[in-house]
Amino acid sequence: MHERSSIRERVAVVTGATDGIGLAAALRFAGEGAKVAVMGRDRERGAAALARLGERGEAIYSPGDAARKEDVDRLFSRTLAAWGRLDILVNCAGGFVEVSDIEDLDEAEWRKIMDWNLTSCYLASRAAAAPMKKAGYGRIVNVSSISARDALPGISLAYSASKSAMQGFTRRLAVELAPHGVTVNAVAPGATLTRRFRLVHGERVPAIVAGIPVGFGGEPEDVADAIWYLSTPGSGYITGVTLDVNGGQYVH
Amino acid sequence: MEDRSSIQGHAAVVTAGAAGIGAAIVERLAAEGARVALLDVDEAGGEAAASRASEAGAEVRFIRTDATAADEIRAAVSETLAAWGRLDILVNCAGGFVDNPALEDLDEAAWRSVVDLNLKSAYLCSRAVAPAMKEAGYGRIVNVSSLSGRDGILETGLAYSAAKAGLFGFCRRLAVEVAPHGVTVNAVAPSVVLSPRVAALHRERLPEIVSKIPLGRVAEAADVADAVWYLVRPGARYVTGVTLDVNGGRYAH
Repeated sequence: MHERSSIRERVAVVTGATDGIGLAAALRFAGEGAKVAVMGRDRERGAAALARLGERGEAIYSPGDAARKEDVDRLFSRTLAAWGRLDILVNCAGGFVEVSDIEDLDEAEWRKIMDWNLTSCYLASRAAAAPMKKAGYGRIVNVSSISARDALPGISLAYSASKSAMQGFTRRLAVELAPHGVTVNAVAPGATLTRRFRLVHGERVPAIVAGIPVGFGGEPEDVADAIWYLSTPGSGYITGVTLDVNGGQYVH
Repeated sequence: MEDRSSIQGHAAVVTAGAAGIGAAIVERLAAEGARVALLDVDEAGGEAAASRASEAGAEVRFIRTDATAADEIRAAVSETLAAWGRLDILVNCAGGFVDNPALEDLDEAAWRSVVDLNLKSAYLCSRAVAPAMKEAGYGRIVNVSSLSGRDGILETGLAYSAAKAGLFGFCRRLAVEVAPHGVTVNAVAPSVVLSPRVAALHRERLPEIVSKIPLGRVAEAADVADAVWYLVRPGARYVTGVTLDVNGGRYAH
């Protein structure tokens, strides 16, 4: 492999990594020779993810909620204690459960979705910044969404707002960390056939896929491929961007 | 490496491959194991770049071609297909501008020649490769656009900025047309790249230019080639119609 593309021996932290896109990214990193620490709330899925990662290389599962500072800090302490460095952070924790009209979207639900998608991204990035700045190297990739770019039916309003905010966070943090050799980018997946996507969209899935120009729904591995690229040393001149991974469904 | 990233044995056509960004793209694709047809009008430069890139092991062939001449492009594509029996990758890198007059002094002939070189070339080359890619059900087209197509940059020509912005529209529209055939179409938008030409053009202003780039350095051609490589791999199959900025954080759309 070209040296620009190698992440062998690098250390990656992936939040929201016990399932879906986050798990696919973690597995990709492990397959490319990186050491991977993952976090997620569901301990059963976490144990299963750790087993799969362990088959490919060194891995840590730190249970916890990416929106809780003490859980996030524990994840980074464990990672740094084990491997002494941090090269890559992928902020993938997030999602939504309910979709309601604005009159029925209460403040508690709004705050929960913001915490889950956006505050989690801030907390982990803050924890990652110090070791990355010290090393003069880092790659942060935020998993945003097509729903940040376009109004799609069946998507939570708070979720769309939080995913747009992630792109603003990405641009602003990119400029702040650029002098330290740390890039900050986002990916914006379109329809991605994860377990949760099928759960949320149910019988709408075939109609959604029919509307995608490439003629298929993306797999988590397709998004993981973009996350991986933005985590390579070779992508070092790319920062502050949002990379759409959506089969041509929407192009900014 | 996972299979998603392998372009071993793929056949590529790269326009303006004799120097600068184009030459870096040719070198990278060859280093990754692709066979490359290097199209350029510069015979000495093209032959030299082809021989340099083929040191990586892959076959690189120079075909003297004017990227604005439909018949020459058609012939180069036929030659490539005859040689390798496939055509997986097209990188439209031909472009540039010579002078940068104010609007009142920008005559129609100069306008046309810049738009032809930067935009018509992409259309003609894409048209020439489309039948083979559609038949194979696979293809990767990347257009090398520019930050000048995204932002108002006084140092680059007006026709050049317009043509580079035109590439984005071309790319988005073509992406949707050929998506059902397994062909992706994307663009990269580099900021200023430190080529000998650029270094000469901006020598005195280089510190000022660098001061506006958050990453604190100008791009190298290899940085742009890296983004092109990402987009032409099989693994990028779900990325189409996008523009990937390669600009050190200078401008983020």
